[in-house]
Amino acid sequence: MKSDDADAEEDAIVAGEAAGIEEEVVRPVAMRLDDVHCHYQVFAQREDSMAARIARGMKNRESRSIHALRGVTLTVREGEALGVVGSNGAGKSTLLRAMSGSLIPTSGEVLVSSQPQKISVAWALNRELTGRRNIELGLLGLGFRPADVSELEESVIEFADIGRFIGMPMKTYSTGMRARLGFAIAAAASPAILLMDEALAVGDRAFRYKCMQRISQLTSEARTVVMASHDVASVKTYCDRALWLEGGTVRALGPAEEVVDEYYAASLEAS
Amino acid sequence: MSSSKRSEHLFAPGSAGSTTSYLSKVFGLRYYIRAAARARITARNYGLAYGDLWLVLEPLFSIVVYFVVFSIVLKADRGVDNFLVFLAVGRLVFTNHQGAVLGASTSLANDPAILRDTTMTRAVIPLGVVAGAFYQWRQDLFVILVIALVTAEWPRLSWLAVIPLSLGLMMLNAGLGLTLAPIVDRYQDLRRALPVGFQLIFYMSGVMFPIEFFIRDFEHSNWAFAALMLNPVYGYVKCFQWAIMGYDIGHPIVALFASIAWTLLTLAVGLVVFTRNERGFSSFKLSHEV
Repeated sequence: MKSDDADAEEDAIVAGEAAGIEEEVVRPVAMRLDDVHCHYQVFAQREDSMAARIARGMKNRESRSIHALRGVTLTVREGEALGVVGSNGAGKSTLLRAMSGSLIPTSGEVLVSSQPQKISVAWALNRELTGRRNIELGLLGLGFRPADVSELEESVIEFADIGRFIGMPMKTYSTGMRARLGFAIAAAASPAILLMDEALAVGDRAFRYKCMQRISQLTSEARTVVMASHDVASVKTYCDRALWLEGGTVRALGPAEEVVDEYYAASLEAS
Repeated sequence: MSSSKRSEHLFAPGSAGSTTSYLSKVFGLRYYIRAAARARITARNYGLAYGDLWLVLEPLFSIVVYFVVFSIVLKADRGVDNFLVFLAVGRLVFTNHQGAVLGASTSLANDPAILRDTTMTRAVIPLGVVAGAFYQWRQDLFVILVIALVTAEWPRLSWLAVIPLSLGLMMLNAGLGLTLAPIVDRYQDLRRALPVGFQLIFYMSGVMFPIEFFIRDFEHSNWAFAALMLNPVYGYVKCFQWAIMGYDIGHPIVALFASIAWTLLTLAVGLVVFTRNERGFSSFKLSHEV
């Protein structure tokens, strides 16, 4: 993971030098999705008579398949911030899971230049442990060595800025505090590709602003950010391009301003 | 031009790679495994007035209960000298083994959030549980040795054998955990069935009484001997009993070889399964979050 980052950095420098001469240089590919389909297998519990169950062989569950992504093709380049918009259930979270590799597409291909780091509101933190212990655990889980962890820890605490709560179990945290800690941990790792699934939805205005500054800093360092968000204003302001997902298919992909306006108009019409 | 050069670097996210590279990824996360193990213990004892003291109190109390029931009430010692130590060793080795293996094998199925939100190498999840059980085991061992000393079981050279035996037990737990976790994840009903299976193995491990006394002509009974060898933990129960109190009925060394064979087999199978299936775990559980 470390060497990938170094590679990406080196390439970014090369790309940056080239960009100095000619603005319109094509940046290296950070992520490529080719006709990606994702299915979820869902079990529906059946509640019917014993006789019917015996006839079925006692099994009390029935599996159904949900087609969450229906052929998404997309290329994201280094240093790009891509916004993903769409109504609830459009497939935004599934898309980000497929990008991170925590979900294997049923068909199609996802390729990345570096292992993406994904954060979401529901980031897996241990509720019984203090914020500080969770930071240590989170950073070690990202592959840092204990020596680096103690160094990074303070900067994460400073960024999360949740005061004395840092020494209290996470179950005493508000949703916003949890999100702050999650973002602070993931951002500390400075991943080459950062995926954000509504990670800032519950943060307050000041924290969102701080996160957006951090994201701008990441993209200026040729890192790639993909953010799924219902906050269309942020997508417009901070993203270069936007992807409008609906029913698992791409409705529009292009400059953030245009796509977001199109999406916004359509959702107003629908309501 | 730079983009075509770059495309050669592209890879599928979260791909496991070869078995050796997978193993080195797990090794790279060894500090995480250690921290996760400690976190489990902290989280479990959170809010208790006596906190981590329960790491010692719990095994101590359970041995007292066993002793009262089996030695004083049922008089089931069957002529074993120092039946209290015999019980303590068997009971604590088995309980720790059972806790580690059950915890590790259900760790993937029970924690869809970590699979959904992280791209962490999956094998470290069950391994964290096994490491947590090892922390508990160190306290268990302390309790066993204290009980031994109190009941006039004086230190002997073979006590040193508990160090390699403890490491061996942890490796066995890791192997079984890695092998069972993908199976439990695939066949969720095993979450209920496995504890019942452990109950059976418990009675086949010679914990509450020397099981060898129940098998007539143990020395000549091939099927009985084979049945005991099929129990992966039997060898460790026997060897700990031998190391601490010199109890050596039932070929502890032969049983140990059987346990070591189980350890190597399950570690190899577990590693291969995790390498092959790295991103495939709990895929249907993810659907709860759609």
